[in-house]
Amino acid sequence: MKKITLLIVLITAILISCLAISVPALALDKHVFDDTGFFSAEEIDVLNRRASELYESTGSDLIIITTNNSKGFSAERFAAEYYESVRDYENMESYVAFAFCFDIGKRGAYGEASYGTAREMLAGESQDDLYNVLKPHLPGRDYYNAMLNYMDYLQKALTPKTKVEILTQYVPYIFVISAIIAAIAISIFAKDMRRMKSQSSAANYVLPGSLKLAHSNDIYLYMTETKTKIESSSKSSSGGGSSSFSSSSGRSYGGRSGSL
Amino acid sequence: MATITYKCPSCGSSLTFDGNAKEMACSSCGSQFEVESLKQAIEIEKESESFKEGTNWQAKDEGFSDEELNRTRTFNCSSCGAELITDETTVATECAFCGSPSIIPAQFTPGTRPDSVIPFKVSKDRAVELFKNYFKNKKLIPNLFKKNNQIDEIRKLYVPYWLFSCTADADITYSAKRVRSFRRGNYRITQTRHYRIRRAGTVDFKDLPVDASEKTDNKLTESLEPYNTKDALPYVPEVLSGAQASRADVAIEDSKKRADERIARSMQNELRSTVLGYESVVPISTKINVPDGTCYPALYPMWLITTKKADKTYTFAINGQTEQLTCDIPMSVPKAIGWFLGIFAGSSAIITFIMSLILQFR
Repeated sequence: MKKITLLIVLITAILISCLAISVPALALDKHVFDDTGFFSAEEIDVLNRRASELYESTGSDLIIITTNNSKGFSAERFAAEYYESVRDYENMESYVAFAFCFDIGKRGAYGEASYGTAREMLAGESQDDLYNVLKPHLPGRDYYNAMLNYMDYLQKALTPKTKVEILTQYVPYIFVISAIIAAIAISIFAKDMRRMKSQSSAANYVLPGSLKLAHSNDIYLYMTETKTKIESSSKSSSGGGSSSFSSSSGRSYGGRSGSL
Repeated sequence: MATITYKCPSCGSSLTFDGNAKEMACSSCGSQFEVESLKQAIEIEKESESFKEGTNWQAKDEGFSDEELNRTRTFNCSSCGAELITDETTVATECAFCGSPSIIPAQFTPGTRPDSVIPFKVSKDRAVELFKNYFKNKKLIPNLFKKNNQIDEIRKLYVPYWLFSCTADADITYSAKRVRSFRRGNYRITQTRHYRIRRAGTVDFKDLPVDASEKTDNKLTESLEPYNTKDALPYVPEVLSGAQASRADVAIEDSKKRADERIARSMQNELRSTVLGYESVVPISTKINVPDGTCYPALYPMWLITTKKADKTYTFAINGQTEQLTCDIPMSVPKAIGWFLGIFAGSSAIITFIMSLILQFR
């Protein structure tokens, strides 16, 4: 009996250990935290699968949250707080949390919090970029397809660009600089031909210091002012790049948000 | 009319003026003479020798039109006695028969006798060297000039100029803008302050040269500027010995137009240089007055070289004082395009390579 008890305890201990080890792995299988029941079960399955694929290919974990209780936080702050509450965040090097907070504003708000490598790679992306990804599906509240679009977008944004892709990005600048260099060189060669050229002025024959000003008046007349709106025409995007904020744990995040 | 040829008191060969030493030099025996000493030697020779003077050869007028006669002058070479035919403006030349340098001071009309002359500092050998060096490492020179560039003719010329000196005055009004841009909330605010600016003043110009010869292209003579007038000598006929020279045949009034144009542009530049701190400055009213200052004739040195290629004559001019060279050799357009594309491609490749290295080590 003792042996059986010992065996059960041993097996239980092994199972618990295995479970403890596999907790983060199991937890990473769940990427959708649909607290409002907005998505259907099929949609959640697809989103979970796509998010897992994203994690495998980019190394960045993504969670999608829907809530009716953002606890007074902004959408991106809520996303960060939520992530830290459901994940072993201290062992995660790169992650993104995206939250639909239906209790913020009249129609709700969305927010994105990014950390680690994901934050660095999204640093060059603006609020408008995120809005443009979601825009086609926001009016119809088709957040499922909005999230599929968003994951496609993350897939591109979080995949390190190849050298060729980066260089291709700079091709127009390389061409412009090269054209300027070539034009300067040709003008030097042309000048070296020392072709006959009329003098345009008599600068060589001005007596040094002979300029005597009899009148020198600068009169201010009036001022005109023009105002140009910086943000894009969209109402829900606030324009500009991503902002940064800290969660209650003290972690610093990159954040982007907008209205639904 | 008689010509003057300066003979070496030592060997009797022709003397030429050495601009560097500012003395008359004999190319045969190497002797050098101060101008004043030479004059005294000539006077002594004149007194001691009796020679027939004033032989008046009459130019035959058969076959010459009145206009040609008006523009043609005949002289006797004082060295060999041969008849020299020149145009009305030539004041120094070489005898076509004996090669002696001849000066014809009587050709100067009233008001065209130069006040000053800048003597040659560039020798003929140096001029030839400059001509030959020109063709080296020229990227855009047509292939025609890549080899066998022979001098067809080289002439040592004193070109007549009118030198204008004056105090010009100008009164210019500008419309100017100062632009300030800043962010206020979600707006980019651009404030433009508009100003009315007035500048009026005077500038002194000294010895602005304007080509006074119909024979030389203004573009060519202006390309050789500037000359340094500090080296100028008061005119004495001896300075012209060994060179060809013409007197001014462009009226002062005609040359003044060109001087006025250049002075006006300089006045605009001078006054504009005092309008600072604005993003945009546009002149809206310009009044420039170039009063009649002083104007006097001068002779400036120039080597004129011609070369022939494919039945066309190309001209090179070298400033006889500063070695500044100019020419009318055309630029090869196909070569310019080729170089542009080559440098463009090379630069693109180098920049791309450097960027790929940076990306690799980042």
